[in-house]
Amino acid sequence: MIRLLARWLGTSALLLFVVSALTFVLTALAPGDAARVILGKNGTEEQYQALRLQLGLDEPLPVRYWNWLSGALHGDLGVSIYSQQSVTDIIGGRLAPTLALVVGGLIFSAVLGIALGIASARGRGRLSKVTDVISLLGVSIPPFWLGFILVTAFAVALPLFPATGYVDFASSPSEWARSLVLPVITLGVGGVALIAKQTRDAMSKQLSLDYVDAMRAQGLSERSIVFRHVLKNAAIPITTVLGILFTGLFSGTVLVENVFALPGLGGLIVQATASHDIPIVEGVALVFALVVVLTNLVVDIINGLLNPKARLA
Amino acid sequence: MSKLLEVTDLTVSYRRGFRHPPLLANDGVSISISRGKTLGIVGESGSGKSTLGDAILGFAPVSSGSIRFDGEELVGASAARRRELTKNIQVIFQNPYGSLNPAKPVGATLLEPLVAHRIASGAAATARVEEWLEVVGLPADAAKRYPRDFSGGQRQRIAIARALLVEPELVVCDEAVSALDLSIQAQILNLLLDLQHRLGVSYLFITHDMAVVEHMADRVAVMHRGVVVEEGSARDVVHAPTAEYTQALLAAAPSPDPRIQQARRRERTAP
Amino acid sequence: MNSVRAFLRKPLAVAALVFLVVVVLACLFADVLAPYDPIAQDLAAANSLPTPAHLLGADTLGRDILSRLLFGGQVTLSGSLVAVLVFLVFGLTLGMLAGYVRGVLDVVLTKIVEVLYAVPVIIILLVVLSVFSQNLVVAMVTLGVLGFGGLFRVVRATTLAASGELYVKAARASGLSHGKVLWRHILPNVWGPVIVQVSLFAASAVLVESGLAFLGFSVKAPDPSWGSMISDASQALTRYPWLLVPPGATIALVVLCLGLVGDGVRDSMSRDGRAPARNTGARAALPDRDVPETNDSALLSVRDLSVGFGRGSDTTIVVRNVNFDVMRGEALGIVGESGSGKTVTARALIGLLGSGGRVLGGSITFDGVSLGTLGRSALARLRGSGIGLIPQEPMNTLDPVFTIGSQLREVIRRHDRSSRRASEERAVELLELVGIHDPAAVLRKYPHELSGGMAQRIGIALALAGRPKLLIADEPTTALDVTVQQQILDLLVELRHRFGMALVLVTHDWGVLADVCDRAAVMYAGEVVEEAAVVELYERPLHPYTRALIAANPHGAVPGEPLPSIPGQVPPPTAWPKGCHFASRCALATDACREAPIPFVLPEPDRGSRCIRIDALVGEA
Ligand SMILES: Nc1ncnc2c1ncn2[C@@H]1O[C@H](COP(=O)(O)OP(=O)(O)O)[C@@H](O)[C@H]1O
Ligand SMILES: Nc1ncnc2c1ncn2[C@@H]1O[C@H](COP(=O)(O)OP(=O)(O)O)[C@@H](O)[C@H]1O
Ligand code: SF4
Ligand SMILES: [Mg+2]
Ligand SMILES: [Mg+2]
Repeated sequence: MIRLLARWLGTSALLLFVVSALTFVLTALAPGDAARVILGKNGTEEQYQALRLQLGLDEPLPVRYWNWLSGALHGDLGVSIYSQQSVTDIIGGRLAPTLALVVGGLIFSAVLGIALGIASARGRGRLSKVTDVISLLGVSIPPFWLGFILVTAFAVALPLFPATGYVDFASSPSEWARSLVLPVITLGVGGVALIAKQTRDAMSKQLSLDYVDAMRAQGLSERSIVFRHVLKNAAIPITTVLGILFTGLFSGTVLVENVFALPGLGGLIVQATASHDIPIVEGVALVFALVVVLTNLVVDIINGLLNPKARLA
Repeated sequence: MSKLLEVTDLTVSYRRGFRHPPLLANDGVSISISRGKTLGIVGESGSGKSTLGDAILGFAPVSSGSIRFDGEELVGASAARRRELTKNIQVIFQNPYGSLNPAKPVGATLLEPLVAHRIASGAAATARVEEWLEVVGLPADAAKRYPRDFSGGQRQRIAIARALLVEPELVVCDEAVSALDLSIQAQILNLLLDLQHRLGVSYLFITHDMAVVEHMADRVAVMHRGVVVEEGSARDVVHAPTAEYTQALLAAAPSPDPRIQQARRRERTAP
Repeated sequence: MNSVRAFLRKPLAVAALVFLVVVVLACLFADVLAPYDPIAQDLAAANSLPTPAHLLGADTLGRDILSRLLFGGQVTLSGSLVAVLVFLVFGLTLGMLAGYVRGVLDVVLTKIVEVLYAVPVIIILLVVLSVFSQNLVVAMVTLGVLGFGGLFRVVRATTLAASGELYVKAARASGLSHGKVLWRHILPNVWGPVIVQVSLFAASAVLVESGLAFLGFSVKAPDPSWGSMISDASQALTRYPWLLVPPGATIALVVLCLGLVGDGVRDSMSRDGRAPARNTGARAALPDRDVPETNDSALLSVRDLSVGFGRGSDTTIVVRNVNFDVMRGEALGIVGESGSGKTVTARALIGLLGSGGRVLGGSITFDGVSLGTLGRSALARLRGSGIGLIPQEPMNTLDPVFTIGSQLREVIRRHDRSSRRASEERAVELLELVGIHDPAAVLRKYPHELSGGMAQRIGIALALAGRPKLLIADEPTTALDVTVQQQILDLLVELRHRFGMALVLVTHDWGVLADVCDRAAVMYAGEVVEEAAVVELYERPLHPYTRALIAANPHGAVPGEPLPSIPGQVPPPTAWPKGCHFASRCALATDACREAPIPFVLPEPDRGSRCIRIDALVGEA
């Protein structure tokens, strides 16, 4: 376990460094001067000088990064180029819809995916084919397109849910839930496909191993074999995939929040990218990297608990 | 006459990460083989038999000691010289399913050593391959087929052909018959003995089976935990072992004759 | 070459490949093929559904959708191609290098890939785009760099596995240089997985590219790309939903087909690609005349047992007309060469043939009850309590994520329906029984913390938990060294005497047979060819195969002299002859032997043999 944590710490530090330093390196690499790129052709000379100062472009790269980093460690991610608001505040205000969306998507794909996976691993043949088809389709359909299809079907043709927009939980829990249904499905369909396939494969592999037959020979019941032994063994790869899915869902919000006009982090970073509001892009990227790091930690811990060999390592 | 192979005080150690001390897979091993003779190496799994074979073939990290082949020191020899020497020192592995590339026709596998050593090429090489397929008892059209078309025993014949067609002086047989069934094992043992009589090749015959080693070897070295605990003529080692470990090994190997074996069991378990 | 043929046999994958080729060519030649200029507006045709003039309709500005799709595809596909090329170059070269050279290089590269793997890809692409505005090429190169880890891992693992293969070692021993080994023996293994990875990555590259285009980071309006067409369509969603269909369906189909091609390649590599051979010897199992009905005094009585694998006309019979009895407290050995059907016979006894296997005929009577008449659940109840199984590979037959104690207690509770405390005590008792000195400590251990011999003792304890009357042990010591084998056999003999258990011991080792068993059934090519007490069998075999096999044993032979070996080899189940299965290798074979199936006869009391020339055999001796 200690070794695992040390390993996690190493990877995490490296990851956070790479992600956070990236914008600084890129601005240095970008052709021309970042301030010019941001202002476009219309900027005045005063605006340009002011922006250079704000971006710290007058200082050398390591100094700039160091300044930003020491701020970030105190929760200060700088200010938006346009609104001059604190990036930390902007991100804080955008967190709730994204979290709701991602957690909803995770639950949706995990529950449906695992159930489908187990059923198709146990059932012979046909159900397994269905899972194959679903998982192939699920990962092939572009999520943003699926979102519009769902909107056309369940918001326009059959007005069950709002087409776009987000309602605060505090103002109306039921409207909040309704506003999330289509986005969660859009975000989660790929996940259902991924989890169903992984669960099926992991379970089938376990079911084909010698210990399963040995337990049958010892007289254990099929239920105990499948749900106690096989599932626990299969849970190790499934947990890993759930972790990958969770971070993938965060990335997915970039598209889905745009389709449904949700005021979350995904929408924020897209707007900021389009307008070259680099401090915001940087801030959101850092938040995403943190999510990855924490998810990996949780996955490592769970797998450590599930797998005695990992625990010793 | 000087020995073909003389291994003196050979030590091979494998690193096991920084937490453990290195593993001494061979710890001061000394053996020798005369021309045209067979040295049997017996011992339980993990005793370092394969490591010894690997060291002679140049696959194991030798930390000290000497391996003299035909008077030439092999420890520290250059990679190029090593590659040349594969003409003189060949190997047959245990697993007949893993030692042939499944994606290559048998003929291509057999051509490899001939081409690598520029022994023959073109039609001459093909003819030589076919000749050897016949020697080991396979039909000539075997060259065009893939390993999966052959049974374990037939694959082992192919492996024997590959080892012997460059006419080496020494062949390391690492558990070469251990994976084979009794009736096939007998065929392969006969083939190896026959080839030795015809070509005068020497064998380093690694096995864990006492009966097989007694049948094949002139001299036998018994290994235990990386050390040779006993060395002598095959007859002496099997019938009058001096080392305690050899005695234990022989006592544990059951005899196929039920009368003998059950008498031994009664004797052993009697209070 | 075989895998190419196997791939061509998959209609879906081939269709997908054809579709992809057509799409790529169509986009490539958009200049020639497109009916309209992709940005030319024709307001008269605005919002047109598919018509002969506009095959896929026209958008809100009256631009032809098919033309926009073709030109848009150039953007999407070339962007994806950039990403794939970067992915391929990095993944393949670095993966092979890391896998073959190993050492520090491998450690460093693996760590880098681990970090890249954890990077949230889309976010990084946005970061890149926020600095390099509208520069999709940079973004796609970045995608390739961030994604190559997937290929790297597969290539590295394949290279590592291949370079550990004996045939690579053998090639080096043949005198091949490193370069030649890499080129001739390792690369051919790698390219299959590479195609799979490339097609999967290409699929995600198409999705990412069109996603970025949808967000507005690709070509500038009015130039088309697949993703931006979806975003255009979304503007007119309520009035004109058709616009969504062509670009969305195109992206989905392309991605789907890439996935199908990938799956097809993977499947055609994993299988050997050969059509299964038909069983020429498949015919209805026929009862043997000479064998008496079920022996009522026996604990286990097997009659005419036949087992096959596969369904319907594809069934291959692998065990045919097996007969034997096991008396209470008796030890019967089933001896024979690999593939002769020993394991299948043993597993049929407890109804655990695995998928595709089924009993085709005959009867198994245990303790007076025919197992054929027992339902599934009754049979399951008999397992462990009536009949216990000791596995061949003890380590693989324990659940790796539960402690020994937890597994043992579960089995005990299942059979005894006892309390936690009582089962704990029984677990300790069982471990003491199988000769484990520190039961409490071992109960807390996980399987991977045990040695092979220890694991086999646990396997025996698990088999004993239900107090069975019959133990079945399938090569229980084959994976062990002789000294450990001796301990395990001693334990088996002792337990058997102590509890009066009967034993069916499957082995290929005549020494083990002689050591432990009272009687033996010799199997050859799916049939029991001889059954007798072990002493009789060894001293006076009544079947040519038994005799030849005993003679081929180097034990006691004259050293250095040729062994009397059996020529030829065992026919596989698909090539069993009509007559005697041993005829092609038998020195005594006559035409009569080849004509019809040989019955199992009882030439002497308590002995059986499947040979019609026993007299000649005895006369020769
Ligand atoms: N390549 C290797 N790396 C690390 N350890 C090894 C390697 N090869 C063998 N060993 C170790 O060396 C010891 C001797 O192994 P080996 O020579 O294969 O024994 P044998 O052939 O007698 O079974 C074993 O403990 C084995 O685990
Ligand atoms: N699951 C299976 N599917 C198809 N054929 C099988 C299966 N298991 C065993 N067989 C075939 O049955 C025959 C007997 O196998 P087995 O009983 O395992 O032999 P043994 O235990 O004597 O070595 C072999 O030809 C083998 O290929
Ligand atoms: S029946 Fe004929 S072929 Fe078969 S074993 Fe007897 S003598 Fe040989
Ligand atoms: Mg070895
Ligand atoms: Mg078997």
